[in-house]
Amino acid sequence: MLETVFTNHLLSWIVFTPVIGIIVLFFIPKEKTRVIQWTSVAFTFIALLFSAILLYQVSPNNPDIQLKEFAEWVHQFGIAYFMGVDGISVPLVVLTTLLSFLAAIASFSVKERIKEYYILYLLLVTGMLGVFVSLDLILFYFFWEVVLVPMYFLIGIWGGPRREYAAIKFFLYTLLGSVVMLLGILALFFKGGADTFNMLELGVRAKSFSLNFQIIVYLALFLGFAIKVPVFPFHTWLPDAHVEAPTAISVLLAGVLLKMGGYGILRVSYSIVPNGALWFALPLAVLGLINIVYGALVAMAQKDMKKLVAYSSVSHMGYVLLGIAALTYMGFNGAVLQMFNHGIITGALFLLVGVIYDRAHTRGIDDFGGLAKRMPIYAGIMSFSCLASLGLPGLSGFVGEFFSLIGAFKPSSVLNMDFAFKAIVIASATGIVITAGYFLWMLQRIFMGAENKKWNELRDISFREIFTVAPLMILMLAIGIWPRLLVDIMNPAIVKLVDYVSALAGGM
Amino acid sequence: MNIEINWQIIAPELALIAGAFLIFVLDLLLRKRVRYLHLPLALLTLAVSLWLVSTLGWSPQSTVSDSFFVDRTGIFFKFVIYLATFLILLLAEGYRPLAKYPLPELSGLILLAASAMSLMVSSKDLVLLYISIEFSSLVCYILAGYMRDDTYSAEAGLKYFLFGATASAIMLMGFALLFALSGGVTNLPAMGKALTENQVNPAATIIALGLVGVGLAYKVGAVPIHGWVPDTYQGAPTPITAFLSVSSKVAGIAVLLRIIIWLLPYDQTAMAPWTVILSFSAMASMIVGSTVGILQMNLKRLLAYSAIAHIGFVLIGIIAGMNYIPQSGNDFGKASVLIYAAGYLFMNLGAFAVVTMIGNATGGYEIKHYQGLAKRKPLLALLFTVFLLALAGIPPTVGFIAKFYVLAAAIRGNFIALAIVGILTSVVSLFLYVRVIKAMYLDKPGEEIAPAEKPIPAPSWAAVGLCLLGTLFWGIYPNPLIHFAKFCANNLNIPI
Repeated sequence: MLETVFTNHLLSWIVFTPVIGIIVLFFIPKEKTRVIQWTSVAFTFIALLFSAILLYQVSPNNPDIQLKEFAEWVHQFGIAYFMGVDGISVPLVVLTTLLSFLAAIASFSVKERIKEYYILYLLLVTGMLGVFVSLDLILFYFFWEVVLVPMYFLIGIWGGPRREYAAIKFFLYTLLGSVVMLLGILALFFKGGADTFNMLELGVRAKSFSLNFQIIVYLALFLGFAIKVPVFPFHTWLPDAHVEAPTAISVLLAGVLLKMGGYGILRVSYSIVPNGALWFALPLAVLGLINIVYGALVAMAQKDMKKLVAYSSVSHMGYVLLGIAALTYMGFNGAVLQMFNHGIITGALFLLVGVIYDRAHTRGIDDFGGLAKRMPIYAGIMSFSCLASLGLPGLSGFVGEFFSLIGAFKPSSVLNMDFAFKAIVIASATGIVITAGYFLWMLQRIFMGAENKKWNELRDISFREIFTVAPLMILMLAIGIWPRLLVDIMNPAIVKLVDYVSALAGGM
Repeated sequence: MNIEINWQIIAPELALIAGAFLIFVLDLLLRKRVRYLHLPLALLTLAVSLWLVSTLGWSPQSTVSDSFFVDRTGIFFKFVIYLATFLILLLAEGYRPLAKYPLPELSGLILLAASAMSLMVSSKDLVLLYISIEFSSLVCYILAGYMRDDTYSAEAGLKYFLFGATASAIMLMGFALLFALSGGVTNLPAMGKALTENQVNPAATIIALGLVGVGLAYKVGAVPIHGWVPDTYQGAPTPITAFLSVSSKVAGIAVLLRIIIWLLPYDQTAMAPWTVILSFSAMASMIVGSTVGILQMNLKRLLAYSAIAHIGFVLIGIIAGMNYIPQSGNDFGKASVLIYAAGYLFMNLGAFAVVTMIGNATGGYEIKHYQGLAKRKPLLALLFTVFLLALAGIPPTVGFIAKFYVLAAAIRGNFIALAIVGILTSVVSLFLYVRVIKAMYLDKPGEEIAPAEKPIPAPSWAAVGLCLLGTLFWGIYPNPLIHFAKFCANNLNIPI
C-alpha cells in the first residue's frame, strides 16, 4: 500500500523533497553549519535516488507521457496540478538531481550565511525539477518563476565582486522573457478554444489553431525560452551571471537552467504551436549557427576561465537549436543529447574552475603556467573535461554535436530547405574547430609551458573535489562510448514528437 | 412624508457611526482612562459591522427611497474596507509618532471614514453619492494631517485637501450637468436610462461625465490626477497612509464601477470614447508609477508610486469589464477588479505594515534605513520581501493571481496593447521593489541606524501576520477567492 502511494506520486516526491528539506533546515540552528550542509546534501541525494527509481519506473519503448499525476487546482480557469514525464524529460530530471547533489557538496566552500544559502538552494532545485515535469502551462510558469527569486539571492549575496549587477540583470532580463511568455500562454487559453492550460489537450487541438495565431504565440513563448537558452542576441545576461555566481550556482545555472529553455521549446512550442515552430525553423537554425560561431569566437578572446566556459555554453547550446530546427529524429536526439551532455560537461568544467579559484583566488588564464607539474591529477581531469567539451570522439560531447549536425545536414523533408540547412551546418562546423582552438589554447596556457613560480604552494585536487567531478567524468565516457544509454530512453518520445509535427506540416 | 427605511441594510454603517460617536463621547467623559478602551471598542464595532454585512442577503436591496442600496458587489467591497480598517486600527496602536496626539479621536475618525467609504459603495443616488464622497474626503483630510506639529503631515493634509476640494468642485459641476441633462433625475440608474432615452447631446454627456471622471480619478489616484499621492502618502502618519491606499482607493474603484455600469450606455460603440480615455489613464498610471517610482528613496513615496501603478492595472480590469459582451462566455473583467482589490488589500497593507513597524522601531523611512535589515530583523525583512514580491506579481503570491486575472481579462477582451504595457511595467516595477530587497539583503547597514531600536507592539505583528496569511494562502489556493469574486461580480451585469 505504501508502495503505491509512493509510486503513484513519484514525480511529486521528486519535486517536493527539497521543500521538505527546507522545512527541516528551518529547525536547525544556524550555528550548526556541518549539520545544515550534510542535511541538504542528504535531501538532494534522496531526490537523486528518486530519480533513479524514476529511470527504473519509466518503461522504455513507450513514447507517451507516463507517471501522470492530476489534481484540479484553480477550477475556473481549468488550471490543474498536472505532472508527467516522457523520454525527453526523464534525462533532464536525472541531470537536475545529479547536478544538484554534486553542487550541494561543492557548496561546502560557501563560508557565510550557510543556512540561508541552502534554503534558497533547495528552493531553486524544486523550481528546476518542477519545470521539467509540469504538464499544465500555468504550473510550468509557476515553477519557471520560482527559479528566479532564489537565483537572484544566491548570485547577489554569495557571488563575486559584481554580483549585485549580475543578479539584478539576470532577474530583470529573465522576468521580461517570462512575462512575455505568460502573454503567449494566456493567448493560448483564450484564443485556443480549449479553455484549458493542459499541455496535452492543447497539443491535441494544435491543428485547429490558425497559422498566424501560432506564429504570434510561438514568438511570445520563444522570447521567454530564448532568453533562457540563451539565444543570441538575448545572451548578454549569461556571462555576468555565470562569472559572478558562486561555483555551485554556476554549475546549476549552466547545467540546468539553460536546459529549461531548450526543453521549453521542445515541450511547449513544438507540441502546442507546431506550425509556428515550423515557420520559424530556418531563423532558429540561423540563430543556432550564430550561437555556435559567435559564442566560440568570443570564448577565444576571454582571459577569465569562467567567462570562457560561460561563452562556451552559449556556443554549445547553439547545437541544440540546430538539432531542433532540423526536425529529424537524429536532430532532436542530438539536441536532447547535447542538452544532457552539455549539462554534465559544463557542470564539471565549472566545478573544476572552482577548484583552482578556491586555491589561487584568480581565474585569469594568463596568470597561470606549467601548472601540470604542481597539480598533475587536476591537469588530467581538466584536460579530460575540456576534451569532452570540444567534442572529442569517444566522449559524450561528440555525440550530441555529431547527431545535431548530421541531423541538420539532412533536414526534414517537410521543411523544404535542404540547401539552406546544409550551408548552415557547414558554417557551424567551423565552430568545432574554433572550440577546439580555445580549449586547447586555454589548457596550454594554464598547464603547460613555463612554470609560474607564484603557484608553487598549490595543493592538488582533493578527494571531495574529485568526488564531485567523478560521476560526471564517468558519464562523459559512458555516453561517449555507448550513447544508447540515453538514446534508448529518449528515442520513442522523440519519434512521436517529430512524426506529430511533420504530419501537421502537411496542412501548412 | 412616510419614508420606509430598511434598517437591516444600513445597520453596518450606522453601527460604525454609533461606535465612532461612542468613542468620542467616552473620550470626553473619561479622558485618560479611555486610552486603552478605544482600540477594543473600535475593533468590536468593526466586528459587529462585519457580522451585520454578512447577514445581508445576496439579492440586491435598497432603501431610503432607493438611494442606499446593497448588492453582492457592495458586500464584497464592504468586506474589503472593513477588513482594511480592522488591520489599520491594529497597526496604529502603539505607533510612536502618533503617541502625543489624541488617539481615541483617531480611532473614532477612522471608523467614521470607514462608514463614509461604505456609504460610497452603497450609493444609488447622486446626492447620497456626493455627500458620502465629501464625508469620506473630509475625514481623510483630517486623518492625513493628524500630526499637527509635523510639517510633513500638515503639508500632506493641506495638499490632500486642496487637491480634493478642487477635484470635488469639478465633480460637483459634472453632477449638476448630469442632473440637468437627465431632466432632474437623481437616482443613478434612472439617470442613465434618461440620458440614453432623452436624446441628450452626446458631447454634453461626455463633458459631464468627464468632469465627474476628474473627481473619481482624484479619489483613486490615477493619472492625471495623481499629483497628491506621493506627498500625501509620504507625509501622513504611516497607518493612515495604509488606510488611504487601500480603503479610500477601493471605495473609489467601487464608485467608478457603479458610475460606469449605470451611467454609460451599454453598447460598445457608444462606450468607445470612454474606453480610449480610460486606456490612456491606465497606461499612463502604470508607466508613471513604475518609472518614477524607481527614483524614490523614501519607502512611503515608493509605495505611493507603486499604488499609482497598481491603480493602472485595476483600470485595465475595469476597461475589460466595461466592454463585456453578454453572450461571449466567462466575464473576467469585473471579477478581476474585485480580486485585485482583495489581493491589493493584503499585499499593500502588509507592505505598509512592515514600513510602519520599522518606522516605529527605528524612526527611519528611507531606503538607507533598510540596509542590512536582513541581519538586524530577519523576520521583518523576510515578510517585507514576500509583500514586495507580491506587489511585483511573482507567484506564489496573491499579487500574481490578481495580475494574472486582469491580464486574462484584457486578452479575453482583445486589449492586447494594455496587456503588453501591463507586463512591461510589471518588469520595470520589479526593479523598484528589488531595490528595497537588495538593500535589505545585500547591503551593509549604514551609519544612520539608531543602535537602540525600540520594541514593536504586538498588535502590529497580528496585523502583518494576517496580511501574510492572505497574501500566501490566496496565492497558492486562490479558488475560494476567485469563486467568491465571480459570484459577487455577476451582480454588476444586472441593470437595476
